[in-house]
Amino acid sequence: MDVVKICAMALIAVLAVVLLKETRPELAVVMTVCTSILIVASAVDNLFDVVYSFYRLSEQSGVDKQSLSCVVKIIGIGYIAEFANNICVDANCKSIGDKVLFASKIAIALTALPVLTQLFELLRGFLL
Amino acid sequence: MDITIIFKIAAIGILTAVSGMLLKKANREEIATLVSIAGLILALVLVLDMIVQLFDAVKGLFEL
Repeated sequence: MDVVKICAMALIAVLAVVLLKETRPELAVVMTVCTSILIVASAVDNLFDVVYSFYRLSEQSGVDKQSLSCVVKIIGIGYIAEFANNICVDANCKSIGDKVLFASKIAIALTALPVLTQLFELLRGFLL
Repeated sequence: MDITIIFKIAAIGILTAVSGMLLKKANREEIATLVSIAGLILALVLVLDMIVQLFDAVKGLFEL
């Protein structure tokens, strides 16, 4: 789905959200959630080949699979947390959005842990 | 997964708003609130399977 269609969909959805905002505020939130999902779903399809070419390139460059999957996982966690946070801020529940970001930071730190321990082993091997 | 779902939710919103006003005129307050709740549930059901579909795709993509 090319960018023009996505922009047209976003504009139509914004009109619908504004229309729904004063008569049915809760449906306006449902409309924002549904539009962001639609746009992201159409964008995710061509994200697949980006990630797979990322993997192929890394195999040739000899980066080991484990740290690379950590990188991809962290990108995914960051992305989903951003998605949920934006929707929460839209429905002006900023505090819930911040909690989501806080939890995702912890999840990112958790997935980055093995890479960190690997790094420290490497450094200890050099220095000692 | 296309634009018709936006029109569906907008239609639900407009229908519930109009029917709510009509019911309020006919002093049926409780039915008006029931209609608005039913509209909300219908919209949520529509959006729910899209959310599940998107999150499965993202999970598969990033191996979460």
